[in-house]
Amino acid sequence: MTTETRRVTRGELIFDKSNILILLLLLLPIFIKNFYYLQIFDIIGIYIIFSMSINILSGFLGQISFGHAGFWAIGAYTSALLSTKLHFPFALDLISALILAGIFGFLLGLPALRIKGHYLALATLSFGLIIHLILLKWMGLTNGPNGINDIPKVSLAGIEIDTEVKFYYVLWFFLIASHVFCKHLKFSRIGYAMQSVKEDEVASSMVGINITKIKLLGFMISAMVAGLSGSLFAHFMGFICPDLFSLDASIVVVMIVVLGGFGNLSAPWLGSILIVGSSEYFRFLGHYREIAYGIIILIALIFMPQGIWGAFSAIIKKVIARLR
Amino acid sequence: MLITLLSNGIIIGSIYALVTLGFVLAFRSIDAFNFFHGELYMLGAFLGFAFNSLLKFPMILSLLLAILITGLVGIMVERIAIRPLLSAPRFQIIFATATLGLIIRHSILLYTKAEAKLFPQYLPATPLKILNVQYKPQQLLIIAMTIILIISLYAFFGKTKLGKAMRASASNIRAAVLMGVNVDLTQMLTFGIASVLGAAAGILAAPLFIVDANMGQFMITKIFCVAVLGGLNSTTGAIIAGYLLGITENLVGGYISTDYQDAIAFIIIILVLIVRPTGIMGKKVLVKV
Repeated sequence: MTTETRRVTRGELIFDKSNILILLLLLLPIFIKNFYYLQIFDIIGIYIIFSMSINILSGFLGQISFGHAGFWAIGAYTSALLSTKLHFPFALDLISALILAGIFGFLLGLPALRIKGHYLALATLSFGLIIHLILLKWMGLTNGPNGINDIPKVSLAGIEIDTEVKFYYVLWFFLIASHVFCKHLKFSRIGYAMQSVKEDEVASSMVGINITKIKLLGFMISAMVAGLSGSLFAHFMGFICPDLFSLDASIVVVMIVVLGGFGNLSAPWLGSILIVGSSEYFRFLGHYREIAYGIIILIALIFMPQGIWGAFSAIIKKVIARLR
Repeated sequence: MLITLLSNGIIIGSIYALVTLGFVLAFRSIDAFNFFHGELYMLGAFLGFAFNSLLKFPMILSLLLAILITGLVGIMVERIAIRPLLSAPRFQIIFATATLGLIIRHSILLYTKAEAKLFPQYLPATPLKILNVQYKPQQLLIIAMTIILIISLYAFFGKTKLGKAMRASASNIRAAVLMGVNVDLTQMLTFGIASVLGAAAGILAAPLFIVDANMGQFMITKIFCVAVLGGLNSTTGAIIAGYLLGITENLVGGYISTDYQDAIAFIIIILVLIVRPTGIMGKKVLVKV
């Protein structure tokens, strides 16, 4: 969880190991003909974007949130309502979802300027629960526990995204865009400022970082990324209801990042593939699945505080050191 | 109407106060949230139900066993999920305890299949009439037991040597160790007492409501609200805030709408955090730069 101190060059930013992964993912539909598996990859992709928002907030800026399902829900419901009731095109409802999530992120950022640690955890938790409660009780707008049906498929510039493969490419375009955004954010001036705020707020303000601005910006960006994921989620599912955005969703997304290792650019990828991928695969196990997950996450928390990737690379480093 | 609402508020407030008292005790001893605390409330009620209705134990025995086992579970949670993480960032403890809660919740769901169970009534159902309002004996028991438990806790922490040692290790671990307090033991005991309080609240409340696996998750939000309102590190604050929340909820439910009864807790959390983060009784903790 240490901050990178070295300045990263432009070349390193554009060409790195993740490019190989991106190429592989673009070719995936050629190898996978079964749509069920492709859909699992879609869900994983949505969760990767969602957990990127936590990675920005917790990994870069060092703030915790137990209410991110709230932003996810705001993105999803904005898109769903605008496209079903007002027949907005995809691009427009996506942008509205981003803006609305950003506004709420700003509002939640305001109390976060004053409070820290446990208190912040509680404030974000209640934010998520309030949003969940509003979705349940505001029948006129959200249709309550019945949710919203028949959310139209994505269409871009007149092209209807009707097949699974086409949606896959739309989703992974946004995924790669968000990944590149996170990568550039981490090594930008703002990103360095965020990581410095994470390490020590007082010292950061001494060297001239505007903490108010950085924190509000961090909350806004994080909320917008979550909103993007929510909007894609609504169009992917075609149906949303409040229970998809309960406290469990907020906790799962933080677990993804914990498992991947806070602040690593690879954390959302690794964690989502492990948690979401296997949870879709083992769905038939029912409650045993959740129990097994709980145990695995507990072990990871206690014995691998750097996340799975951190523990793995530490082992590799040890092995290499011994070979020398 | 008003008197009924107020007395209902005091009854549910007693439950809130009892559960949150345990939560605050645990918080003071480890300086981290125990997300498992809501599950202790559920576990107390569920075990009482299981021993009595499934294993056919006598009522008193099954209630005592439920409280005892929940206490042991609380101690185990401290050993498994909290002790190894004391040197890690605090949110990891939050996570570990939340994960343990998930495990226990789904283990119980395996058995109940998301069905709500009826807790056996252990007091007669004939209502008593006081000041023109009818009370179930169970409701009166809740008020009485809460007062008895709170007084005995204050006596324990104020008068006995062990209670003083526990208070000392909660307020300053290093000084307590230097004074020869066995901090390991006191922290373990604090968790035991905290869990027993949670279980007792669960058993007291269960005959009035139903028993299901999600009641702990429902309770944990109330616990947070009460704890924040009372000031996280104040036991007296927790008791006062418990009654305040109970009464406010009932008044809102009676005069405005029961739809928004459950939203009160969240609104209070956010308002307190914005206006006065230390709550009504909490002391401000100054951090040295």
